[in-house]
Amino acid sequence: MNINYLSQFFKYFAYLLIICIGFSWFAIQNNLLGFTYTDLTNYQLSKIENIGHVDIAIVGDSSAGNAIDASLLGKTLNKKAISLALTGSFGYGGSYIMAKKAIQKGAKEILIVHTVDMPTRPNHLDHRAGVFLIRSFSDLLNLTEGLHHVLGLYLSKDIVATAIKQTFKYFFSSIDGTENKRSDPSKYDYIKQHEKINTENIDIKISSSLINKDKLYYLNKLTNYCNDQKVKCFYAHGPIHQSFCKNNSDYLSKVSTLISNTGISLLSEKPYCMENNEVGDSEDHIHPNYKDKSTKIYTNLLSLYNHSI
Amino acid sequence: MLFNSYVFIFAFLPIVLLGFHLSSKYFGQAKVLLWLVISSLFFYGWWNISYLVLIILSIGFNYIISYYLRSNKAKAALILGIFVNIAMLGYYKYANFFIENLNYISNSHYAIENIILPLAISFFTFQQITYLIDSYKGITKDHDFIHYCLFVTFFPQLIAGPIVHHKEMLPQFLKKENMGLKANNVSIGLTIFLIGLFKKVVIADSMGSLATPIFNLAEQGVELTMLEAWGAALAYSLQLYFDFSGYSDMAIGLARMFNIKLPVNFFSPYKSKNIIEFWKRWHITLSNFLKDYIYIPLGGNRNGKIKQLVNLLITMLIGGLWHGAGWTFVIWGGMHGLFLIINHLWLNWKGRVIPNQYLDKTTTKLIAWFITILALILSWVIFRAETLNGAMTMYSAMFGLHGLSLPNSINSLAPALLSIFPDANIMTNGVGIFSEGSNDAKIIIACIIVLYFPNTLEWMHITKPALNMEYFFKKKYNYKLSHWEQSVKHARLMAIIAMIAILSLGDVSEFLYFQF
Repeated sequence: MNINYLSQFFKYFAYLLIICIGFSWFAIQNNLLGFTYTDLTNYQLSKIENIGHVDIAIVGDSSAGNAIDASLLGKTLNKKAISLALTGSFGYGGSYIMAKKAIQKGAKEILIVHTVDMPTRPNHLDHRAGVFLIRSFSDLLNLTEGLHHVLGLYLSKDIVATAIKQTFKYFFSSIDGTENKRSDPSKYDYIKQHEKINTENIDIKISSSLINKDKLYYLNKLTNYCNDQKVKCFYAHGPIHQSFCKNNSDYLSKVSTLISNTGISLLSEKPYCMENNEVGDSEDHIHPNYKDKSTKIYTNLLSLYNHSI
Repeated sequence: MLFNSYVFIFAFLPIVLLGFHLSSKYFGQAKVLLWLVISSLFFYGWWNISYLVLIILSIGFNYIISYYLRSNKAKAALILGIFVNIAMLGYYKYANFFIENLNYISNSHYAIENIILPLAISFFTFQQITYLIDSYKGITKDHDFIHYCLFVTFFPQLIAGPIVHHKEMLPQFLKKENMGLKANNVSIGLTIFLIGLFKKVVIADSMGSLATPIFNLAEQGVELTMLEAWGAALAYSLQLYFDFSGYSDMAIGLARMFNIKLPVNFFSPYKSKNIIEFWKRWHITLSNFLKDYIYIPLGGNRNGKIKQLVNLLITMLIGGLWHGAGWTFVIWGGMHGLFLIINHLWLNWKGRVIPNQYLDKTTTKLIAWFITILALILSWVIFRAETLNGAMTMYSAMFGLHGLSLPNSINSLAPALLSIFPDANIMTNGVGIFSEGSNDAKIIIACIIVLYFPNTLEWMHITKPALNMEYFFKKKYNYKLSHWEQSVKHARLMAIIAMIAILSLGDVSEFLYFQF
């Protein structure tokens, strides 16, 4: 019998654990991981925490934040609307937590808007980004998800690897979180856009083999929560460059079926297909000059759906 | 609950180990076993609490029948017991498949609700059928209900095997010396568990990420190139290997932490030089079950060669169907039945075809290994494919029907190849998973580990890590790599392995064998 083996194992494992968590923690605290969403997250969280009552909440990623002006949508529908849009890094997990918060504030309608390639992204990102949203025990969901949120952030191989690299850079070549300076959410509900991209050669093709069914985990949870709370929840694809709409009918049809199968009301199978001049700083961001136009499109979709039922 | 999840590693396992130790210290053996049963049922119910009732009813029913069989030896009761087990398995696992085929043949539209397959049903059903048959034969002893429950539900082996035999497990559960945590066994168990975890989350999952997109494309009927298809088939073969090997190690390691030895279930199957040997190394406990409870009752090799070969084919078809309700699995079983038939015939003929002096030559062994691994890779394609069309797309690409694509590094060979084979369809761009050097490196490293490294049980052999290992250790262990020892050096090595595995846990994926 050799207890020494176990004590040596646990001792060295604890050292490694502390080192890894230490690097992650330091990098997150100093915004060294290239996360551009810290200010936006804090802004949206304080918005929902400080609001008295809300009728309709828009949740989703940056395609939602860029495309929908909540005050205009609310004015048209004669309802109190807010945007709680985050970024794509939060995935459906982020939308789930924000929607829950809005429903707890009395929201009777939730509009979820995500960019069209969201179902192809890895699902562990939802867990990881979710840790930024945790403000209370009720946000922790349950033990499994809570562990995923916390450990998935501090003990993920890519986070730790980036954290180590960036921490060394921080000390030896003085970097800072410059990306974060772009964000001014109080004006936009999204991270301020870069320069408009060149749209001449955009030709987006995406294979439906890339769809990750596990990604819909939190969308399923969100739909169940809406049903339990008797809240109307709608889903809409975010705007996307027109080449996507031309090239990917198979992908769109499969994604739409998957989303509808969660039980959520899909407003339209087809996304809003942007012309070249409407595109902002990425293929799924509408240019700020066209935000009112796209807001009207989403408002109409909501009105049409509500009238049709 | 998955072995490779945070909740299992950081919450469930420490609590169960602590409870096991405390109950051993302060309460009697009965309470310790009860604790393990409750923990195992909790582990099972975590997945879907409604199926907890099903496993409890199944255990209760089989316990009553076996109790009756021991005292009455009634064949009718045995038939009833087996029938109920098979009917339950048939309903949950095969009803949808049966209805689909009935509708197809009779052009009818019968419909039943989509039945969700309860986790591990194939494993705990087979284990209990064995117990019933042995009770009828008078081989089992009178066991307490809790002991029987633990035999069926013991969480390290409940979900994906090994399929354990009551003779191996129950005496261990009842040994007084096996109560309480033992530092020695915890060290051994933890080491084996961590190696398994590393295999699963670091190697198997990265192989899966190479194979899955290509197989998905094949399902959609996309024409693949030859190298893409072979790359995906090889990556899947490695994924399955490390997934099952990792799971088997984790099961053995977990059981050992509770002072229990499980039977060996996986022993470097890709080193096999023929298919007969492969089935002695791959899912060993299933092979033993199929042999003892299907092949031998069918007549085995007792009624002549032809009958033996037919029995082999039937056994493997059933083995294929055991893995899943689909024609792809039946065909996979049939392929292996055919491989085994060819292998048996070859054993009879090889003396006439190859002169004796060449039989033991390294080159001959290498050719034998190559043919075996080729057959296995081809068979895994249909095993992995979701549909027959998907499998056919893969096979047609593997046999070069959609062209050969060369990696960029050697695309200068294309003109030379075209001058030799003017009709060949050679492309020089895009070769799927081989287009990135890092993917090539991953596959090569995985192959080296499979073929040149000792497996976990060999590395740990001085600790006698599993039951029934004698077959594999007839020859003296002669690996040049050092074996495991309880040293500071190895404790630190395992701490690093554990850390790498924990860092890879974020993207949880299920074990492939869970679906069976």
